[in-house]
Amino acid sequence: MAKLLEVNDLRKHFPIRKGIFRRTIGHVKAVDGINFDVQRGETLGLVGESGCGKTTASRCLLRLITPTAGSFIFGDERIDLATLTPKQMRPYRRRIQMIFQDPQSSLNPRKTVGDIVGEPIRVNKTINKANIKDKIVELLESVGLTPQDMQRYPHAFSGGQRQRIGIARALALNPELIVADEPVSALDVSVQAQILNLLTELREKYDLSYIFIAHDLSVVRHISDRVAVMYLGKIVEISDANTLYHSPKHPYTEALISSVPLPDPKIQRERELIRLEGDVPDPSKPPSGCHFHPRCRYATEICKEETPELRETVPGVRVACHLSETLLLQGV
Amino acid sequence: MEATFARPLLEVSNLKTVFPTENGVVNAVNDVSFSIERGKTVGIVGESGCGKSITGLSLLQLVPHPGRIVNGKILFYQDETDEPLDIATVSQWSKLMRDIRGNEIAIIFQEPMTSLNPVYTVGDQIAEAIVLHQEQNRSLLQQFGLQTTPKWARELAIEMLVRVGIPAPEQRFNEYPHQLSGGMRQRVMIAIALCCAPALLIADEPTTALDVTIQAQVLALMRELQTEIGMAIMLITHDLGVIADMADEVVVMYAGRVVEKGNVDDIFYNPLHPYTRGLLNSIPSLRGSQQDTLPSISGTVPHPLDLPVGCSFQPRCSERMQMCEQMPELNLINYTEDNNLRNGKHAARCWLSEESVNGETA
Ligand SMILES: Nc1ncnc2c1ncn2[C@@H]1O[C@H](COP(=O)(O)OP(=O)(O)OP(=O)(O)O)[C@@H](O)[C@H]1O
Ligand SMILES: Nc1ncnc2c1ncn2[C@@H]1O[C@H](COP(=O)(O)OP(=O)(O)OP(=O)(O)O)[C@@H](O)[C@H]1O
Ligand code: SF4
Ligand code: SF4
Ligand SMILES: [Mg+2]
Ligand SMILES: [Mg+2]
Repeated sequence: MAKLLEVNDLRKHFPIRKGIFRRTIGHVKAVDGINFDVQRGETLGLVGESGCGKTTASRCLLRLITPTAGSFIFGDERIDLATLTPKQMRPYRRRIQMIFQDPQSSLNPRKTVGDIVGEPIRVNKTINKANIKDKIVELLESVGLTPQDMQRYPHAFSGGQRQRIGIARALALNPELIVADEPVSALDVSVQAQILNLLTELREKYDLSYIFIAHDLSVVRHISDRVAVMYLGKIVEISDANTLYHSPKHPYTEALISSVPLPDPKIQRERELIRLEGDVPDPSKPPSGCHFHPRCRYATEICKEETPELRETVPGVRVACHLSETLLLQGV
Repeated sequence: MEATFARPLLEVSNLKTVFPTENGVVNAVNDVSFSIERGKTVGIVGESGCGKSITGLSLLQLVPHPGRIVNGKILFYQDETDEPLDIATVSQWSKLMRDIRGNEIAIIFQEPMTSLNPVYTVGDQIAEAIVLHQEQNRSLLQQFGLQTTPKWARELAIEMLVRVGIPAPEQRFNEYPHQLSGGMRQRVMIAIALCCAPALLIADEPTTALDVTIQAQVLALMRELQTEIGMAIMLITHDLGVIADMADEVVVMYAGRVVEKGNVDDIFYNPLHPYTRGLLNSIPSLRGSQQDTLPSISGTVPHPLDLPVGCSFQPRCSERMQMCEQMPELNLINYTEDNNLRNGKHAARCWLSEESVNGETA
């Protein structure tokens, strides 16, 4: 497989300002040096609890916000997107598209579905006018809507259907990479399954790659080839989806998996659960050393002092934990 | 511990709660029947808009205007010998209803921020709840070995904060809701709800807004306090994992009606209604092998003002037949001796369940 994207040491620090002069009194290290890559045709899942930096990382990739540091090497031409000016960025924007959690707020209520889906094509003039309508029909059909839906307005659709509209719009410019930020979190389970199936189908059909962000670990496992787990702005573990869930190598991954209640009462009664104490710390004042140490049941002295690097401990598995090799962790 | 009670704590039968709207009447809760045993957890599950919250609010006469209960009974057996009280007939504003809300049945919601008052400290809010239930609290005070002093409410409030696992409770007492994390706020809500040691706690999506690790903490806390106080829980959620983890009995709702109910094992291992089966199949698995395609239910939930004729699930059901154009009853399923699935409480609203098992109307 060819590499589509390579993210090196991505950082985004937001200033914390106070007082009438808006003096900077500190920084939230929302994303604090993450590295990963995405292969062509692959889905990389990004999981972690609220505030760990998933959305910030994806907004940096799309250059919706400017990263503090880092490089993203994109495509066969290996261009570093992090350093491009907005104008230079324009041709690449087409190739990376986004799907949001709440399609409601990203769809203009006064425009018809045909206008919404066709807008990126009109703006970018990727195909000539006469063919735009055919293209819109094709897009709507590929996401399970009908040509008649072109004339209707977003409010006339259910949540799942609105997500389909958002997906059709994201596909309009034939992107190579789609960043989906919690695309099914607001949907009911029966509809969630439909949208997950649609995303899988489209990936094959259009040879897409996804970065799929979610906090639901079952959903992420279902759709992802590889999964990265984030905690307080850092990736703590990244590996193949099956390996990660069956034999986690980071104590946080272990606890996260253990916290998910399984829809199986007998297993749930028998399962030995690892319960994490306390809340996720304030990201503007992360703990010293390994950020996870105050909640980690395996922590030792070194964990308070030294920040563990993300390193390959087993082929294909990268973990940021000093003790990873010595721990016997439990998966599902 | 497994004491058997002749009577349930609460028995809901044929409950109907409606909302008159400009375009017609929404039957938010339609012919709903189930019961809650003392000390047990009943899970109410179903997709958005199926009537879970309105069912919960109906039990407390808290249905928002212009909704109202138009039919059915909500029999509350305060103790085992007295005549039950039919909450459906008690006026929303009466003293009796306020007493029940304060002392017998408590409720917590998904987003605690909306139920906590932002201008009072969390400690004062718990203390206020405690003062309101002064009578009941004498026993709690004794339990914690506290005196009825002027400071007793504060002391008990701090004790409650400790009990729900809030670190540095003395300091937290003086903080405002916005200074707490989502998980902490939900703990405070639980503290307020439980300071009257209610017989029933209605928890409407109590962990939906929380991260999984915090959800696990809050669910564990609810279970612990349940054993301690002996209260029953009506747990409303759309998460079947949470149901499997917490519930003894399960009620599955669809478009305002109960489509299936039974004990948790029956529902998960022997689901009878095509909707229940569809829901269970459509959850991606955390273990097992990764599938390419998830079995999914086609279509979407019908609009409440435009329900299909007959079985409400009909347009989405792969097993639909001619007779599904008539509404099936909620059929009790009687298992035969040899298939050792027990209890006569498993019921489904589907023509097939009537045919496949020797059923009888619930
Ligand atoms: N514009 C901003 N200014 C200051 N801080 C910010 C800003 N955007 C995000 N943050 C902070 O950065 C951290 C990461 O936020 P982010 O939204 O990326 O998390 P997330 O993993 O997407 O969480 P969620 O699961 O809740 O969506 C949080 O602490 C957040 O408060
Ligand atoms: N104030 C209201 N006016 C009109 N209809 C209402 C009102 N409140 C609720 N309803 C309707 O009653 C039905 C049941 O709503 P309810 O809130 O009980 O659903 P729910 O199962 O709790 O859904 P969710 O999972 O989204 O919380 C819905 O069809 C809803 O549209
Ligand atoms: S480095 Fe130490 S504290 Fe961090 S996860 Fe590993 S064992 Fe736990
Ligand atoms: S009654 Fe008919 S349509 Fe309804 S669930 Fe049963 S088989 Fe399906
Ligand atoms: Mg986010
Ligand atoms: Mg609700």
